[in-house]
Amino acid sequence: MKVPNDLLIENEKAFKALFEHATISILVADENGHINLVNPNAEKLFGYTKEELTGEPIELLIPEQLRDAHQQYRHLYFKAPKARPMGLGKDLYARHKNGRSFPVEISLGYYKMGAKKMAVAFITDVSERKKAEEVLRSSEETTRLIINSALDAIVCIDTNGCITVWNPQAEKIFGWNEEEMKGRRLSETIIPYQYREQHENGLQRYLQTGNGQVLNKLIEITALNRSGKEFPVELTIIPMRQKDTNFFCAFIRDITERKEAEEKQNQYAEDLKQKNIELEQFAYVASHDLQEPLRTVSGFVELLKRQYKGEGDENVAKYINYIADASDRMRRLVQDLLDYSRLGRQRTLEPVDCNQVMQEVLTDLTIAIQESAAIIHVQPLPVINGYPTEIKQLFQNLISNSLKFRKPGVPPVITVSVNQKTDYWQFSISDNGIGIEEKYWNRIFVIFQRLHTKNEYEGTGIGLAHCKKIAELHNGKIWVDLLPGEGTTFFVTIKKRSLDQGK
Amino acid sequence: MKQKLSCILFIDDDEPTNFLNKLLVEEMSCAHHVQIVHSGQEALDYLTSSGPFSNGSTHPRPDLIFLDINMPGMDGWEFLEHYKKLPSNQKANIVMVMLTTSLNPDDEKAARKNVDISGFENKPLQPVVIEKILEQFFPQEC
Repeated sequence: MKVPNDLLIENEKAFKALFEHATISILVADENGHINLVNPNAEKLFGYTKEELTGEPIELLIPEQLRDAHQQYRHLYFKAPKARPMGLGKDLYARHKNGRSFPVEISLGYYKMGAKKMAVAFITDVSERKKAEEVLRSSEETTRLIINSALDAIVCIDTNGCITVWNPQAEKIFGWNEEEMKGRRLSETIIPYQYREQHENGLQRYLQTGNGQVLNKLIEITALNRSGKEFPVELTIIPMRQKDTNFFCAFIRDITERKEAEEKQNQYAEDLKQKNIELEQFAYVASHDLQEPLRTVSGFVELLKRQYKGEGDENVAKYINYIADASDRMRRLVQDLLDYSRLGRQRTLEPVDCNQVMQEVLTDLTIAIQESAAIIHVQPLPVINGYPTEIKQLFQNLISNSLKFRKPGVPPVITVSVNQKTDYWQFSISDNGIGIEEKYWNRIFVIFQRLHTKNEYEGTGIGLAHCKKIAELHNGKIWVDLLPGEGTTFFVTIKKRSLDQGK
Repeated sequence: MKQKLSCILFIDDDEPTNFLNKLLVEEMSCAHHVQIVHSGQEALDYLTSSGPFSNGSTHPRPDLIFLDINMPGMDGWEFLEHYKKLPSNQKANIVMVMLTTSLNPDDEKAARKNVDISGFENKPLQPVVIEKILEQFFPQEC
């Protein structure tokens, strides 16, 4: 058994070891604020050796601006010293030898040594913790800012279906504010009656089976606002997990205006489609039915012609000729109108070898070509995706125009070429004919518009209107431009499609 | 007895129409001369005594012009653009615009402002229409 003195020495040793190895910094100061003891951790924390600190006023370790306050506080403390735990929420600061201040937490104890009162301070550097707290606070702040300034309503619910987050945009589109909504059930507020059961069942199913059909995708549905009005929304629900808590976050957008615009647009498109069908139908029926009485007129004119053949009255012959010509012209106009309305009725795109089409056109026009002694240069042309009949008609109309509107006494020279652009083919058909005055460059494409009298050049004035409609059927354009030299050059663009092949 | 108009000018590319119109005014015998031209250009040539009308033959200034709108090449509107610039001694007193169809409202608006146009009539021309025009614009004649 040890004698009490030995025991004291053992205890002393033990406390000494505790003091030396404590991971907390320990300072002992007397009533006058002079430092008596410093443990190694405190030396490390403040950057001073214990020799430098012993006997120095404790305020050496306090940032300058806080020293006076500390002194007063110290006096008060020694008047009624008592143990004070850490973490009272006060922001305390210490000063390192290098002058830098840093946040600390301090607990205080005291003991008496003879008549002297001694204070013991246990000090922890909380710089890292403060920094972490700051980071957390700023990230929370960022999150809050994002949520508050989002253009979408952001609404979160917990697994009970109760609202936990309700951002300002949600207030705006639904009319309830955050205070009113927090804690309320989604299915008793913004979900329309017809979806409420579904919502509750879906929530339960997801929580039990992890199966959520409406989660993580954009859905269009309706919602209720505060005044009970149901309106269309677009939303995404994302299931989230934070620590052990599941919750759901919905991003909701009011799409009333977009829906209305869409509806209006659909209505317009539908109207337009209907009108186009009617128009096509009208042109078709009108021209078809107009042919009927016309045939009657032509028939009886023929009869009259035969009956009055060789009779003396030249006026009768003249009148009959007028009627015959007019009804013949009308028959052609009506036929042209019928053809025009029929263009592009068979809407199936197929590969069209323009070289082959051009050969067919030239074959069909053999007589006119020979009669006019025309020279026609055709460059290699591409295989395009188009409407074969219409493409042939396009080339046929343009080539026969070039043959028809030639300069008197000058054999036509016609060049067909193509220029490949990024999105389209640009065909050009040039001739050395009589040309077209610039002021008529637009009018020539209008149906039945002609630049010459019937006596000068035959025709109803439908050809280029056909060409325009055909170019447009292929998402292209047709126009006339001036090229150096004489004559006319028509340009036609045809939109390229993925299947097209080079020339 | 009222006097005849000295000249009526028809501007129309359609031969049968011209034939009928000429027949009509001749039967009504309300003009000494009926001139037919087939295009706006030919009409300008007539009014300014140029082109085919420059060779000294008599071509009286028209009192009344009937103008077709829908003609190949220079149409009725384009003719009026040129007509506007003619000196007044080459113009007619009255220009009537002839229409095959009813007028598009925009065209009508533009035409109402055109001081050279006295009125519009629909084809085909009828005797009552000519009588009405003569009474309205030429009360001393016919």
